[in-house]
Amino acid sequence: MSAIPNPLTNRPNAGAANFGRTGNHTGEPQYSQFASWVTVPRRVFIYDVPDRAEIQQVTQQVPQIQLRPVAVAQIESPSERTRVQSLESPEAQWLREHSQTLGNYRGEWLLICEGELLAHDQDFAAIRSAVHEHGIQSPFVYYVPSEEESNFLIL
Amino acid sequence: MRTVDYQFSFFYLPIAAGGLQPALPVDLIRGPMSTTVIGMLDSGSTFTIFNPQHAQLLGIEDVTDGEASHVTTQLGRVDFYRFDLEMRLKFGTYDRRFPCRIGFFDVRRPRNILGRDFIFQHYEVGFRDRAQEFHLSEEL
Repeated sequence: MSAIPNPLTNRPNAGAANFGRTGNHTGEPQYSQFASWVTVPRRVFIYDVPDRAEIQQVTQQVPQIQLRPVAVAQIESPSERTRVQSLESPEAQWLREHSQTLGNYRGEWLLICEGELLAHDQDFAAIRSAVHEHGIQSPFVYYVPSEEESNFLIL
Repeated sequence: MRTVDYQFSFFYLPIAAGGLQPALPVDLIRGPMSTTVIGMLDSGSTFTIFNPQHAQLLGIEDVTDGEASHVTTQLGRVDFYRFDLEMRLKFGTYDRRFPCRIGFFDVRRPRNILGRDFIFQHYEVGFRDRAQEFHLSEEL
């Protein structure tokens, strides 16, 4: 992994051996707390994004600091995510966008068309009726497993 | 050492309440009829099998008209019936249709299964479970 510059000095970081050090053995400013989230690998950054308010607070405390390394890390991960998600079908996007509310429909069939939930019912016959009613040529129908079924395993 | 530069990458989907799984939307096509189905990539399953309700949307009212098959799992016997259909995969501008032999369960099951007899025959698949991503490249 290429060295990430020390955000306080913009000089090459000393690396993992000096990670978290608080001393100023080389005359550098103290930066251990700050560095703990600036210099970690990007995958940590993806899943544990630091609070922006925290970044601003640090910036205000030491306004002479350039936060370039943070910007590099932030740009890299979201662009990757966009590349992947741009391939997603509207159906997959709908599921992702509504993942938090899927639990409301456990044990039900959903009829989704152009990003809209047109019908939901435990009885599939009702979904078929809705498909005909709306004249959908290629319906996207999805069954939300019940809580018990969510642990389903087929070997 | 052989290296793979995958064509397509996807994040897992929330197909189960509260969990993410490697899943892909596919279109099932039978003559003029088609339906979009989300199936879970399952390298442990020999067959590709969907719920019988999806067959109804393709005009198959009785799945037992298909070729009877079954698998024996650790949880018991699972019956399914196979039909010759087409499957379409579309990601962005990529669009492919393949003839395939698809099974339908006799009763509703919690998941649709994309098994080794189709997806894994046409695509090289890589899983990165820790990042909850999977990757595909079409086999040439």
